[in-house]
Amino acid sequence: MNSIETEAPSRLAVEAEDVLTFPRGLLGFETIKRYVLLKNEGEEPFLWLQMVDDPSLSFLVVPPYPAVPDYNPLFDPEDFASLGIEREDQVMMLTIVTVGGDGNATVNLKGPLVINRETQVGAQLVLKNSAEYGVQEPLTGTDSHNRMEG
Amino acid sequence: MLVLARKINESLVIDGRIVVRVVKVDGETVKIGIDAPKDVPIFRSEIYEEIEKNNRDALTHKNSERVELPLKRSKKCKGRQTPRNPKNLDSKKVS
Repeated sequence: MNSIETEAPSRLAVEAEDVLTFPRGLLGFETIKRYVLLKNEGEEPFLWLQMVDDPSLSFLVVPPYPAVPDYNPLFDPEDFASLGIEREDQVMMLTIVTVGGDGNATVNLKGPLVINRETQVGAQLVLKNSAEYGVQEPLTGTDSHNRMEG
Repeated sequence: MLVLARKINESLVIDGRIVVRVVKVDGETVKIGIDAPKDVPIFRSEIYEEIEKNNRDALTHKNSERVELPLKRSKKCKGRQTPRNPKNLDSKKVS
């Protein structure tokens, strides 16, 4: 058995403005290792992952649950081990949101951010079942634009 | 690009710490084994490029962009397209 299933708790254990370290950076942003997670009133469940060294740059992120209720990511145990993750309750997962020009928001379910709540060290991981998910998947669990139209 | 011919089970050493071995060749599919230190990330190129591009597209420049979040609306706006009341949001900054 090469993969384990995990269900990330939606609870946010990391305090706002705590610095998260991504030793490998994010894909395409390998040199940027320190981020701060910001929560703005009225924007929940969305959060901002802001670069510490350039506060004008940030990623909009959202925990996948309940935003994408049927999300079932499979991770490589070695990836979890490299983050020092041994138990599910250590895991915080965030997915990167892209807001298109038309205002519709999508999430990257292929490469979520996984953070060890205790060490506040994270990585952007590619799923074992990455073929099942795209980088621009609809947000199904929030009352998004799409749902309002339905 | 450096191009080297290798037979099955032959390998390459990169930087004295990464070994790339040809494990199996089956038609157009080549199975490659890689031994690398744990701190060396390895991705399939097409997946890396897809996520990298998406990250770049998702990056938000404060002060130059306004982002409208798909925040929860009141129930009454479900079921029909209601004019949206754009809520332009600026994340607070860290001093």
